[in-house]
Amino acid sequence: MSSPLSTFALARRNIGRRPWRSFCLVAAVVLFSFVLFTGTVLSLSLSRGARSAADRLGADVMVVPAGFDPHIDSVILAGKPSMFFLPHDILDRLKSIEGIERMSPQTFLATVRASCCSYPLQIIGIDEETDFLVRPWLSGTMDRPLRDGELIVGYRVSGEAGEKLHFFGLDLPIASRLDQTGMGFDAMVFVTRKTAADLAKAAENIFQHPLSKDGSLISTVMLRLRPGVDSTAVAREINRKMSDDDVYALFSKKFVSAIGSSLALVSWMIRGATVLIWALAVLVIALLFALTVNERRSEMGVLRALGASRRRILSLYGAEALLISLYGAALGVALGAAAAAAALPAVAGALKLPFLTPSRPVLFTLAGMALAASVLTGAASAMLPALKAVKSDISLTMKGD
Amino acid sequence: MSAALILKDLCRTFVRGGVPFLAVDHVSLTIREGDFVTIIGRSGSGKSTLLGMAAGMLSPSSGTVELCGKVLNGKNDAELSRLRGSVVGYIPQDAPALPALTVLENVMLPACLYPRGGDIEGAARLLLDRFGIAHLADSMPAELSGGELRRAMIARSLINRPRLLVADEPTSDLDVETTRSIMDEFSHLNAEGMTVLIVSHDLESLKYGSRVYSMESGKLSEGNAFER
Repeated sequence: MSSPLSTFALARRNIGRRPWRSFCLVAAVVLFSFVLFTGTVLSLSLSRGARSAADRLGADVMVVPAGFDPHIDSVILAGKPSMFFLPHDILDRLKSIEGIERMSPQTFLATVRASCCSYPLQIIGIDEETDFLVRPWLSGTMDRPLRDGELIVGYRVSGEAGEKLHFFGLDLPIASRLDQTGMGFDAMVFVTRKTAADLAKAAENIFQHPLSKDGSLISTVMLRLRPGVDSTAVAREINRKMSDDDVYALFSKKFVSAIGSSLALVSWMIRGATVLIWALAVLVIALLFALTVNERRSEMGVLRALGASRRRILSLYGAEALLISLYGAALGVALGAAAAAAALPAVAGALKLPFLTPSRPVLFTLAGMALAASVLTGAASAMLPALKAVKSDISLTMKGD
Repeated sequence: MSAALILKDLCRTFVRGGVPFLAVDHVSLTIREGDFVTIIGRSGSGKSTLLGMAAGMLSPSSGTVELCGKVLNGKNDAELSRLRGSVVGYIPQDAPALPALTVLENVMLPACLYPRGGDIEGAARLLLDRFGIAHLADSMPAELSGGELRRAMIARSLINRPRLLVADEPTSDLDVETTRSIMDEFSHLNAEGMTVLIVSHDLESLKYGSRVYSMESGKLSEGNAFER
């Protein structure tokens, strides 16, 4: 037969009897678990995003018009619509550069608005024959070439395969959808370069686009180098030979390492904040429990006089601390999950860093770990003053000494 | 008749201002089952310290305590706690109750610490009824008067059917009438066979004990030393 006044029943009564103290303790644990969970998710998302950027960028060197290298950052990371064009003979001139295995031109077309999206969108015209960037991402979902007049949509662009999207008066069917990249590609639409030119022509009654007059315009050229070739040296060689023609080559490792530097700083800040909040939570919980243990010393003495052993007293206080920590940690992680879902992409956008949310199993594991760490922190902090108090003689404890 | 409590040459030293002093000074006492012993003394005479050692709540500096046939010296905390919970009914000074629990739950509490089966709540209600406070079962301790609370604490001390009832200043801060009614309760319990040990500085309580001891500066002597 179970005791009508179990350890946890007593703990619940004590929690309920001191609502303000319990609220403060729960709030301290909520704050810690919230920061721990959201901080870890943010940190992990950014690190996954950076890995994805490195893995998916695919090109060793990117050639863009001089002065537009910050724009390519915005396009690749945030999907910010941009338009810029290289000289016409760029492909021929690049052929003279040693070490290039493949090159693939792309044409950028920025929309003002589209039926699918409430925000401006970047359309990228790819060269189906030479493309080595988009094609690998479609393995398993589209095993045929992209045809003129078809679209491949990024992960965050609404619409399913077979549906049509409306651009500048043209209805184009979606051929496939890309996996999530955590970068600007998620908000882009990919078409053939011919389709990009057709769209520019169709847009003539809205705005004059250079592509409508010349469909062969190229915005960027992505280069893949032969194995063992130094991308830095190739980029330097291109810049040396073509700087007068407003051409600029940047090697993607530099791009990725710039992301890595920003990421390291952000991760360091997140870790610092988490440690700070952890120390604060330990201090607040230990202090509040120390106050309450002192206030309850005579109560502890009475329990001891009635037959409760030291272990029983500790288990009683432990249960109280455990429940408080559990309430706080569960609430903190739940709030953290809601905040992560609602605000983290915006935070990542503001940070201008690639962002790739972990999968659900990973998120659940993180939530479980944050919950366990918070409960452990709360319970351990609360037990310190109880351990000290329980060592005294019962008669002295009853007097509150 | 067997002894409920045997104290042999008991001493307890405390340190005050860096100087050790004997709060209990070589005290020996035997309380037989069915006795009603009252120990009187001024505040600070060492009587509460003696009571603490007798009930297994305070370890002596020297000497031995034998409670209901069991020597307490050398027992660990768990053994002492179990013994305290089963053979001693303790009524603390100022009758502190657990403020988060109702009166009924306070009475049930000692039985819940070491559940032995049976209807704990029923037993607690019977005790409250016996002491005339059944109607206060669901009240919180803070809502009770001093006399009601003492009765509730006496009820609590009896829930585990102890062999020795130990009360520390059970009538402190009570008016004359309430003091009399509380002491009457102890007399009734003693008449039913319960061994009672009370320490008090209230001379009124002397009227109720079968044996009286006085405590002065840690030393125990038989009789009422304050009458001389």
